[in-house]
Amino acid sequence: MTAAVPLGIDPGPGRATSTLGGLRWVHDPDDDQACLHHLAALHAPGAGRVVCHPTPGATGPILARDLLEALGKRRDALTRARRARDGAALVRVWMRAERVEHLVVLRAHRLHPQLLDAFAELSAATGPTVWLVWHHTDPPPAQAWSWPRAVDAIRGHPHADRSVRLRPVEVMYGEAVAEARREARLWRVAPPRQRRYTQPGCGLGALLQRLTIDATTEAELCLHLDAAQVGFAAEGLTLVLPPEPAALAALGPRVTPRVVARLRRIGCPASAAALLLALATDARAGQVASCSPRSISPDLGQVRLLPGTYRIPERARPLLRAALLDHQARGLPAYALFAGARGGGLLLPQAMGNLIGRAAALADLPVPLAATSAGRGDSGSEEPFATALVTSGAGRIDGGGPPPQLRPRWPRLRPPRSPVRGRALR
Amino acid sequence: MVRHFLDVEGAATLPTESLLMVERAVSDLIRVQAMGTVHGPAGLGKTYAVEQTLARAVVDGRAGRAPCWVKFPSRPTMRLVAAALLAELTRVPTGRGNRFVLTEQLVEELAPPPGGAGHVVVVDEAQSLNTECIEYLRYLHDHRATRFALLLVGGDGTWKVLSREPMLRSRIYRRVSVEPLTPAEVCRLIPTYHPLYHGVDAELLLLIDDHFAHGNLRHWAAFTKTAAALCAAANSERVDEAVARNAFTLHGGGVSA
Repeated sequence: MTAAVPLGIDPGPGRATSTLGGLRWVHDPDDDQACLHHLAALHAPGAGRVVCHPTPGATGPILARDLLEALGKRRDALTRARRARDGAALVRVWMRAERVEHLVVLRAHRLHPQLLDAFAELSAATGPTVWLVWHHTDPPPAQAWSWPRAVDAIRGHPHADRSVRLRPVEVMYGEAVAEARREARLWRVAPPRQRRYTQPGCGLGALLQRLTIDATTEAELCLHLDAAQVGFAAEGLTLVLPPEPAALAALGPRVTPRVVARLRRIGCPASAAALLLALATDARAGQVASCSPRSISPDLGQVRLLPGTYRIPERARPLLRAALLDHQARGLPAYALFAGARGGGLLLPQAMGNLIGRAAALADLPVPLAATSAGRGDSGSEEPFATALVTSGAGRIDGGGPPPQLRPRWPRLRPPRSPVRGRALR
Repeated sequence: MVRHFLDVEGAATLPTESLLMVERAVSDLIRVQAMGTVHGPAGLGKTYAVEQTLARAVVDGRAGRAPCWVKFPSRPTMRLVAAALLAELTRVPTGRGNRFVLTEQLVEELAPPPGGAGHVVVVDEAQSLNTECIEYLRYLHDHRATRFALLLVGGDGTWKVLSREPMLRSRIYRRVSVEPLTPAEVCRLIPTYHPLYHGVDAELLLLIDDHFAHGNLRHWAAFTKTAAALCAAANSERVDEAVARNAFTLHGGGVSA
């Protein structure tokens, strides 16, 4: 499922759906509040339309901050990400990642000519049509659109890729059953009466994540879980789901639009992507740290971590795309999506846990497993459920209760030490 | 507590047309969280009317928070505007941050609390603002994160300054031009202003207005303060022509129109 070059990171500045691009001037000679309100109302990053209201007297870095804020970032996103000097580069990354088609810049008549030139470069580098709104009686430097016409033009170009596509329930159910059967074939336990404990950070956990992460309602979640049970049963395994609602709550739509909006507040693409992976997969810090650009599918819809393949909801894919673009732009090593300081190698689990914890605090989201002390280790019980396979041929997912003992309690082989340092008692 | 000019003892608030218009305009601005202006020559009670209306709005809970009053020197910079506003809003000295840092803090400060009313910002002596500062105030008011009522109060030349800016033409939701009292208003309202004028002949009131007050409330307050002292010395309860002429003399023979 992986590809050598993830296609999602290099769509190029132009897109098939866009016929515009470049700079457009909009004239508002009366400096009418209605113009500002109508244009501001077009702001819809999810639909590829971003409206930026620059700070009066803005300089280059301040304008970059204003643009990032328009893209949904916190006002202090650059400083909190310790990338205050990378504002312009991050604007390019996020503009491409979010597939912005129309960038409206209000109060352009008050911007320095060099900043207006920078918008031309930005449009050429990232592809959107930049609408510079000139609220002044004097006309803009080039032929201009009237603002009502510009509003109609911008509103009339919805992003073609973002239309909602509904699929028949039977098709969804059938695909879920088939996927569960494929996974169940890998889960046969050979010797009778052998008991093996596994964890959600395993193929079965990844399967359930893939099947349920996109569910939007409880009914859809139940449909996918039922399909998983049917698929396992078809392969001679019984999948027993936990009776406790709390255990089931771990499955389902964790990456909601609200969560994605909060993730977008993070300015550093790597931090946002790391937190996204930690939230979407419940993976440990070490597993997230080992993710490489090649682990991500070309459509950014799947990520292969150590335990298995996880699904990324469509609404969150721009975050992954931004991380890949940033990785590419910074020339980081191909084996690590999340490189250490100064482009070093893989992050250690501790560092990755810290990174995810900081990102969760910035986005005001709950701390995922990877940022907890338990999640920074490689083993141990994993909340909120554990899986046990038994020789009866049933796959159990038990919620709550004591965690499985993953390592045998071997008796201490070493003799007790004597009070005298370094000498064993006999 | 709103104070009368010169703290004239026994003075009442006159329900002038301008006062009623200011009350209505300020109430509307608070309700809509819009931008407005009150302007007119000095001494007509603009500031008093705005202060009184805002005090009532705070008491009955319409304003939500204490109004923020700021006044700038002539030709202020954007940083000065930002620092003065922030200091007044937070009651904390702003330190040495540049205007962008201050703007970030201002935007956060001017964001309405969840479910609560926004601030009311009053800029006094608004005629001293220049284009950059008006643009800056507009930016703060138009910012999608902020919500507050902005009232620009100023004396002579305020509307000339504000009307030069096209951006304000469509943004001023309420505009009140405060005018001097007309002779008819003097005759109708001044007898209720102070006990000294109860039952005083309208001719005498018009004489005082023609020679000294010219419909200006600040002048009426000054005259009343002087006349009260003269009446107390003469053991008189009402103003008469002799007291009025003595008061004119004490004020240098009157105030030219």
